[in-house]
Amino acid sequence: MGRRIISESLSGERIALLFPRLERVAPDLVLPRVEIAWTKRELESLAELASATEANAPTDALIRAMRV
Amino acid sequence: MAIIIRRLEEHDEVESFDCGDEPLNNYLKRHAWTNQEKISIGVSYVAVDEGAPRVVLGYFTLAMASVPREAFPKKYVRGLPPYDLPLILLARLAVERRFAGRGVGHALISEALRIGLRVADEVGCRCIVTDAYRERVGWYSRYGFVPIEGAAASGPQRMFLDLRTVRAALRR
Repeated sequence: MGRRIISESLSGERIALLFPRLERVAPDLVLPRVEIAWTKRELESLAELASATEANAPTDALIRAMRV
Repeated sequence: MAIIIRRLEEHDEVESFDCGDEPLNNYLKRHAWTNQEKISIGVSYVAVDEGAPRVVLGYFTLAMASVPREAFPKKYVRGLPPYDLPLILLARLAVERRFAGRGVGHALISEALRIGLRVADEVGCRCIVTDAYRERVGWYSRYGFVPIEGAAASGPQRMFLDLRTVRAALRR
C-alpha cells in the first residue's frame, strides 16, 4: 500500500491514478454479472470449441461485416 | 439513409419499437436502460437514421459472462486455460420490422463484433456466445457462429463464435 499507480498510454503520456496512503481502491461490492445456465452437454461442446488449436476460417459474410 | 449505431440514450424513442417479438420489444422498452445505466449489467447499442436520430431501428445488447473452470467436465478442461473462461454474451439483437431486409441487422452485428474485438484486445476474452431463435440459426451461421450442442430442442440454440475468427476476418 502507499504506492503510486500510473497509467501510461502508448504515446508515453502518464496519468497518476492513485496516490500514496490510498489504501482501499474499491469498496466491497459484488459486481453484477450475467449468469448463463449450461447443460452438461453444452459445457462439453463449449470446451471443445474454446480449446480448439485453430479457430475456424471466417465466412464471407463475416469478412464483409468487418469491412463495414 | 445513413445509419448510425451508438449507445442507447435515455431519451431515445423506444416505445414504438416493434421487431415482431414481444420479449425483444419488452427488453428494449423496460429493461435496456436500467440494465445499462443503473446496474451496469449490459450495454445496448441502437441503430438510428441520422435524419431521425431518436427513433430506434434496431438494437443489440452485450454483456460479459464467464464459465467457472470447475463447471467444465474434467475430461474437457485439458485444452482450456487454467482460469474461468471469459466470454461476451450477445444477449439481444433485433430489427424494427418496418426496416427488416435493409441491412440493419448486418450493420448491427458488424458493430457488435467490432466491439467484441475491442473488448478482447483491452481486457481479454475468448469468444462470443448468443442464444439464437431456431429460425435465426442460419443467419448467425453466415457470420461464423457455430451451434453449441446440448440445448433443449424446443428452446433457443446456443451458438459460439471464436474471436480469433473475427480477428482473422478483419485482416482479410
